Amino acid sequence: MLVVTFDPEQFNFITTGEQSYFLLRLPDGSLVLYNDCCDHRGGPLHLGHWDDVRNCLVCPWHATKYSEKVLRTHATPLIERSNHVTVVLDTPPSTQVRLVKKTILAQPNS
Amino acid sequence: MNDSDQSSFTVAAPDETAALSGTINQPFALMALPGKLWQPDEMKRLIDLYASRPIFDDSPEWLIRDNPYRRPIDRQSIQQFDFSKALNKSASLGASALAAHRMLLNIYETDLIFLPDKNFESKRDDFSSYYSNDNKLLGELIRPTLEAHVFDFLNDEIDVTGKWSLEALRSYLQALVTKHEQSELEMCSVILASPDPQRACRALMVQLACDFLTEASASTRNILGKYGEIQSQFFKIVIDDYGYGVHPAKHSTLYENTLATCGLIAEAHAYWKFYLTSSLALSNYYHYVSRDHSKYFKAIGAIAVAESMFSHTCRKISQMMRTVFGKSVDTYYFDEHFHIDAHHGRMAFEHVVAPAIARHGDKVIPDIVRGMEELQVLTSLADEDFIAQIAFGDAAGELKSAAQRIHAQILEGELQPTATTHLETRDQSLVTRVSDQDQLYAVETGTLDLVLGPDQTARLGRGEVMIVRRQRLYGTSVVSEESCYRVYDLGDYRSC
Repeated sequence: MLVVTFDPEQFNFITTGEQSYFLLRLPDGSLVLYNDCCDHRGGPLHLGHWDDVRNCLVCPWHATKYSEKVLRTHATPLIERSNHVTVVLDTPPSTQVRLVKKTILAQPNS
Repeated sequence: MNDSDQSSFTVAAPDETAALSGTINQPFALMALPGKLWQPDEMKRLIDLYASRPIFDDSPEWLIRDNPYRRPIDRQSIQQFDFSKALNKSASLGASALAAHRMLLNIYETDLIFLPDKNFESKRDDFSSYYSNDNKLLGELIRPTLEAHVFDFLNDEIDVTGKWSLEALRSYLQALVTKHEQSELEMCSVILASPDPQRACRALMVQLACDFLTEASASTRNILGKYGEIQSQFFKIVIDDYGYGVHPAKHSTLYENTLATCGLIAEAHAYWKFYLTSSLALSNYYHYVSRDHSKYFKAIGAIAVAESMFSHTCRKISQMMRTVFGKSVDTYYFDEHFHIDAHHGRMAFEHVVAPAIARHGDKVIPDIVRGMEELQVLTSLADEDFIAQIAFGDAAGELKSAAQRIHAQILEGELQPTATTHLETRDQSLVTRVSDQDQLYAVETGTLDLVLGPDQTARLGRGEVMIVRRQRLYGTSVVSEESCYRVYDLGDYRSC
């Protein structure tokens, strides 16, 4: 597994090989790192939107919904401390990592 | 019980203090939360009652010789603090934190046995008072409030999310250890760069004595009860620390030898007044997670990360000590840990943490991670606190120069900080404290020592001034028959 530490103010999107992940700050303030690929047809979840009424993330392609509970329980292992986060990615340690800053449309209150 | 129910209660009073009595008027649900059992003003009264116990009185000497029950907590300052609110991280080394941690260590350590080396009969009253039901009961009543005051900030500081697995946890710990082993220990570099490396090194040994002279005592709380194979594996780590019953091999004995060869006293808490807030916090944290067994998984996380990282720390400290003191210093305590903690790290993870996850499920992992992270936050704070304290002592000359400039501005009326005047005599009790802002000491009559450490003072004669930095531990001692001095609150002196 690959352990990566970074500043979440500086980066919010990670690419390792063919996998991509994005950071999402949930309404209760906790931060999750989620696989960007929708389970349904692979839509880019970070380009979805947050449904305030149903409290869920909605995929931009076919409106597949991800409840807060699902996001929390299926997210990548993450530790947030002070001004950095550490994530543990299920990928070999030698995998190249690319960290970027993107607009996360799915962010609640974005 | 409903809201209108009232129950009388009487709290067992300290031996020499009047009984405290009152009424509880709380819904039953609140009574399940110890910290909410009393309103803040009632809790303040209990804390003051605890602080007023004679064994915690201020004393006329800086070092407490061969009396492990005398643990001054500066009652006078305690009366000013509001312990009902949780501190944030930046205040966690402040004045109320120091007071709370002193009380907490006193409370936790009533579960441990301390006996003086000599003259037990002359200390029997203190022994009886420290272990009395009065002391223990009062301590238990105030403990949750004090714990929340100094440790709740960790909840805000750390968040653990996602779906954790044993492999993810193993990778995370391995990454931590690898990073740590590639690092230089900043505190060692600071000691070596100090104008007086021996004094700086002794200062480190004093801080470590807070925990090392009772090494693994807090962890022994985790080996009682009945919880299967893991319990026996945990026991193996603890009995290593206890030298398998061979006293010369007990780790605390090894540390006594180290202290002796550094010219320091090896009695438990002889340097009580010189423990930094963060050193007390680290010792207390192990008790905090090991005494409340609902924090068991945090405890094994903290112990696994400590055992895994301590090996490298010890190697670096041992090297530093030999550089500072030469061959005469006994570094065996650190050399032994360099060796054995390589095993203990593996044992704690593979034989305690991993089987606990296998048996109790992945949902215990976030607590384990939280324990690992919380210990690292406190360890980082301890490093920063120690380094700042050494820098404070080393900068006494600069702090006198800066104080002269600022004092001149005050005398000219350009600055008008809040000030208090003190008139003290030579026989005043000696207390150490920290301030929550920079302060300027100006001696008007007599001679005053600012005590910066067990073997470091800055003497101020009439007309002399010095700044004491925020959150730096210090004491005052009147050297002349009496001294009058003023203390100005500066905020941050660099902005004056």
